Amino acid sequence: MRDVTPLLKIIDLGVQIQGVRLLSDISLDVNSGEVLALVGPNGSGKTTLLRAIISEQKLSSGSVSFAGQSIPDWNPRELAKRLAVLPQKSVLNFPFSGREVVALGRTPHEAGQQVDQKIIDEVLDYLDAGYLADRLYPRLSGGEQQRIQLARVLAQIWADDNSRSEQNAKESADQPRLLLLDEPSSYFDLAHQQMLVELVRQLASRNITVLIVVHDINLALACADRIAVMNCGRLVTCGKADDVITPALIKKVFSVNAAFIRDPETDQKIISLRGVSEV
Amino acid sequence: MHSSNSRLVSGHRLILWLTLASPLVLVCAVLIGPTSISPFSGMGAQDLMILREIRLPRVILAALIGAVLAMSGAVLQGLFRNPLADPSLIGVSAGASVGASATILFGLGWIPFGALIGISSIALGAFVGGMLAVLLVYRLATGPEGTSVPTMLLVGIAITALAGAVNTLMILVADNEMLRRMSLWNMGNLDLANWNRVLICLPMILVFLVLLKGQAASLNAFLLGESEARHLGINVSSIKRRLILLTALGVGIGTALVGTIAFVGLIVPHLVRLMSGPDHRTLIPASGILGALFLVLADLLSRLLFAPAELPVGVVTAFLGVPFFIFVLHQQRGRLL
Repeated sequence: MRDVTPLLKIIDLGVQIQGVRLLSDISLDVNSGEVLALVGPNGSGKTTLLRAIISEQKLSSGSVSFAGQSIPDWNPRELAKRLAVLPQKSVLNFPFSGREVVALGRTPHEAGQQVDQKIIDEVLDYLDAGYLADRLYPRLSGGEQQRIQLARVLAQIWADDNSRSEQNAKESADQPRLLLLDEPSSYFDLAHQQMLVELVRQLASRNITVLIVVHDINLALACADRIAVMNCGRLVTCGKADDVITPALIKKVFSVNAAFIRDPETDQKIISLRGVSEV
Repeated sequence: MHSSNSRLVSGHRLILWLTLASPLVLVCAVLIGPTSISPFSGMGAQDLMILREIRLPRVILAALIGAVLAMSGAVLQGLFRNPLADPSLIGVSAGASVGASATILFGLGWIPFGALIGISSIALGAFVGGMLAVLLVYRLATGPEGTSVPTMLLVGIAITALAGAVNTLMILVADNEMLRRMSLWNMGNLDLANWNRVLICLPMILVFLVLLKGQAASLNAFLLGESEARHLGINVSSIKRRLILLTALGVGIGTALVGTIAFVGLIVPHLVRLMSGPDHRTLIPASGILGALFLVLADLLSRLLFAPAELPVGVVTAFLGVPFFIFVLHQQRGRLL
């Protein structure tokens, strides 16, 4: 039985910096267990919205609540156990090994060395990154670094299935958790983009809700239950992935002529671009 | 590709080795000097007196200050997320230098407080100068959005330059005797070490360690970036404030009591990182021990090389540290910092 109340509730959110309105009137619910993709052209406010959600950006109006409690009211550490954020790009110049970077994701927890190590191994496996564990992070390629960072944020909210006390395990698995991903695929090759899609699809079964910012419409169509489209700091529409993304919308928001075809075997909707449209 | 991530030694083992080596180094430093003292051939009253009143406080002070400088360096490099940051970047050394020069120039020796607690007024002036400079840097880099670390770096450089100019002005008007004292102070010297200074140093270091306690994990998260650390549930602005206060205090005491000692805070944490990686849980204690040993050895050399004359220890740390540092960097070329 799913919660009826949304896990993340954004009401009338507005952001204004030095008189410039970056976001206006955004209301959006992210439901427990779903994958919501946020798409929109460059500068449409996707990253600003993510930053506003986690109160890194001051709101000029509106509110954001997570699991029924306003985000600024959360104890930062308790929030960090349930909400993890993968930024577009993290710069880390210090020679941590891959495993050590992933281990940093366990900072908010006090589960003990054993549980931490087990979880780190699990997420590294999960992301096909086990072979990066002992290599030095600054020497990895962009895609490898991003996979380690993804493993880190997963480790942060990963529930330990067989914790010593069953009570604990049950509690931690029942806790709703949210993963915010900002352009996670930008450095990924095809195989790892596919891995990302499958990963995001599977997270729901672990009671992890995902809000993902993507540029690639096909990626959004492949992994999201619902898609929210932003343009010029406003939410244009939000709905079931298949229904929302239409040639008319793509033309209106991205100024690109597009057609959609379906994969003959999987019936997956795929976008095909047909040139920039006249404005 | 090697799988065992090119570290020479694990952090815990490095701490163990350094701990084992320290009694040896400390005993040697106490026994060796212009008058060498052998514990095996019977010590005269004079030997005991040299040991108790000169060597012992000097070696202890060197160890304490070396440790504090190196740990401050490690913390600051983490805070700035730059392995090449030096504790002097936040303006504390330059401020202390102005404070010391001003005390010498304006003859503030009459201030009774310094004499009261048994340290020179120059040291007191230096400490106040250092703290004022950091406070200024911190204020200027703090806006409504919190403290900006990159701004702090720039402001620190600016304040350091300003302090340099003020120092030059004071040099212009100083007489010969004052000039000599100013430049000696700036070179860093341990020959004023006595038990009073050790006793002043100890509680300050205690405060330093209390502030430092439990910060290693946060510093590790900090290396990922400020917002990343915040997402990991860390109260970033309070940690920044605490760590800046901590390093200011650490470097402030060190500079006030023995003058400017360059490179310890830069080189020691860097070397530890090269040997055993950037994890602050081992980096900070290992830097502390290595910093202590490094400064004790440098001071020993400063006493020995031109005995009975003494070199300023700051000169020795530079002559010793810099070529070694460059050698290590050269060795590591291709490998990472």
